[in-house]
Amino acid sequence: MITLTQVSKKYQQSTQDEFALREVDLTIEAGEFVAIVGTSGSGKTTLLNIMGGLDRDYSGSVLVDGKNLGDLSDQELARFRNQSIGFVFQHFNLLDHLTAAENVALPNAFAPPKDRKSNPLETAKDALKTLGLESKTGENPNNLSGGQKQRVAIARALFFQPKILLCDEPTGSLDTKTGHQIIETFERLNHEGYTIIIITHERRVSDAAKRVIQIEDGRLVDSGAVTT
Amino acid sequence: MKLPALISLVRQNVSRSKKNLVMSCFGIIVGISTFVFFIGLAEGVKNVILGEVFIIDQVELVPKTFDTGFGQFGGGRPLDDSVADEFRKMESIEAVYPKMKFTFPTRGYGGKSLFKKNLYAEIIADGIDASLVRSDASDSQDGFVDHDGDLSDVRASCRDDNQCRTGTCQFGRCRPRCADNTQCSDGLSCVEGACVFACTEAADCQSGRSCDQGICRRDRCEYSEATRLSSCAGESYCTEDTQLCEMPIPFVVSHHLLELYNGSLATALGGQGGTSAKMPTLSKSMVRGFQLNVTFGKSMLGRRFTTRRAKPITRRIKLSGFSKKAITLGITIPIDYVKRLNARFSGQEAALTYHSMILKVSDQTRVPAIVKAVEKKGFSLAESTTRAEQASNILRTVESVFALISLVIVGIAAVNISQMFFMLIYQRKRELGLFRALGGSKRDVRLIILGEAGTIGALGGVLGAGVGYGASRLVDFLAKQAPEFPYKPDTFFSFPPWVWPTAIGIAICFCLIGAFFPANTAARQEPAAALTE
Repeated sequence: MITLTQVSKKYQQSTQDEFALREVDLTIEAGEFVAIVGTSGSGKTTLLNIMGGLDRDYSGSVLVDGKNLGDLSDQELARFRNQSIGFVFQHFNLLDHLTAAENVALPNAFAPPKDRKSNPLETAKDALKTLGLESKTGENPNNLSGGQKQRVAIARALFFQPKILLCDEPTGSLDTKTGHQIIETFERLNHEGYTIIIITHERRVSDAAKRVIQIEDGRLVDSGAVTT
Repeated sequence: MKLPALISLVRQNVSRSKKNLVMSCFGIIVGISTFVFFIGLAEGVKNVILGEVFIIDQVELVPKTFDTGFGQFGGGRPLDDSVADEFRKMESIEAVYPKMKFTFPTRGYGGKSLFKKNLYAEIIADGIDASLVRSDASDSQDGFVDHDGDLSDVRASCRDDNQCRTGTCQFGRCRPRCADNTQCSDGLSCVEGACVFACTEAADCQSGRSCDQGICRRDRCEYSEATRLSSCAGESYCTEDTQLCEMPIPFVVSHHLLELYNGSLATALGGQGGTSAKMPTLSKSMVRGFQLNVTFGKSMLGRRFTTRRAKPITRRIKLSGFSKKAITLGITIPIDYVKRLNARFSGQEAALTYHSMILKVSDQTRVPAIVKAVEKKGFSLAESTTRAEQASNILRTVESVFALISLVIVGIAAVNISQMFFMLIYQRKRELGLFRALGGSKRDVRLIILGEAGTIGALGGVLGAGVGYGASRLVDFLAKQAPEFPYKPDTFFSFPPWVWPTAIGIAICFCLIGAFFPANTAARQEPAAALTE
């Protein structure tokens, strides 16, 4: 479960402080499929980064499965991101000099010894197989289509089977058909028990989510009702 | 992050851009190759200068003299065996080798086999412990031994002890006294209170001696100018004054003497100036074994310099080889010959006092302390030691300057690396942000950047060391094509084992220093900000 209490974040401007988030109170239960929608600059990505432990410069408290992220050291927070969170980005963020399998196995390099996979490339290949990319394990990202790249990125996010997937515009760089396939993938993962939190502009994505949270000017204007 | 994971990531990152790698390594390669080249050159030159010209691992001391303005006068403490014993007890002194000069005139003639006519020269000579010369591994000095160790006097025969200046009259000769074998020199045995060459058969004795009742005795011969070289067995020859067979006295000369001859005399008299005579250029192998006659007690400068205490005697001497321990201009023979000859021509006192002493030092860093001790005991340093100290200081300064220049180059390369890493970090901002998102801590990011810098340093270091070594080989090759000159070595370079790890270590250290600030900047980067750019 993710609980945000009175979370605010401000950027210092020359004349006055500008709030990216303002006193956000939000609770997301385990297993939810949540879409966060809002206009550009409304604070969606900032909210996602704070929930994922990528941004520590905020006020208020963020609890993930009972852990207050503000209390964690840099090492603890790194481990939290490594083991408990999977990130999926709009621009995939794959490393071109690595193969698809090596990209997927990358989180293993940062894992603490006890959590590390003994054969990370095999685990990576299994993850790619579940996403229909068993024939692409040795390919470099340059040789993959946009949809394939995003599925590689999803496989990487799933490498340690975290409970939560944080996705920042995952279909933003994809065509309609491919985007639809990615949405289906998220739906399937949600059915398997993953908590999915997606930032999106796209109606088709928010339609797939079971709950839609709307954010404007850093304020939560609609916490959304859970649809079944 | 564990080491294998770090190595794997660093390897992947470094190998992805060959162009960046080459550019990063270039400065380091230049700096390290310069470092290796200059250190090798400085060490090589130092080996030649301090190993061949001014020997630094030894201190030579002489009795103190006093300069009154009208000349130099002796009066300092004499150098005798008690002084040698004092120094032998000192820490870091490996051995003490007294040196004794001839205290009488000597002239020599010979050389027809080399120069097509006999040459005449005043012989300057000193004596040194034969073992010191044998320990000098720079060249072979076969047969540099005292063949007359069983004699305490140069004279031919005796009837009783009164006829011997030293030692005891035993078996018809004046011989060193002894109580047991330990009091005799190497190869001698104590028989009936005298040191002799013992034998069981003729083969045990050197040329010109026969085994008689367990003792190698000199063969008798009849001297004539025509047969003196052929009337005795092997290398031995017949002496006019004793009518006995004797082995030639072995001598060694300094490498400088040959360099001086070939570099100056042979050039000046090489026949190119229109002279009819021609002096050949000599090599060590050509002159080894060369023999000439010397007359002890006579001078080239005239009769008034002929000794009066004893009649001059003529002997043959043979060049055993070359030694760093030999006198620079002159010949060096085993010291016991000098003692016997000095006693004969100048009196017993001359055989007891040394002219200088070489202190062989086991630890070069202790040389300054030993120099102090020498001065405290009332002795002076020989000019050779003073020059060696000065040469050593100059070479150290030159070496330091070379090393400094190299380090400046590596330092500039490190600045370049720093700039390059700042640029790379800017280019790789998203990637480093991704590492953080996937579980990398600040420390992990810092380690990755430093690991990449260390790898570039190690690669640049190895390549630089290789390039430096290759350059040294090239210079040696080119030098071989150049004309000969005095002290021209086989190689101008010497690479002590510490050079390689030091060179690579410096390369790694400078790269790590260069990457330190970029690594910290990368680690401090906010991952959220890095990922959104």
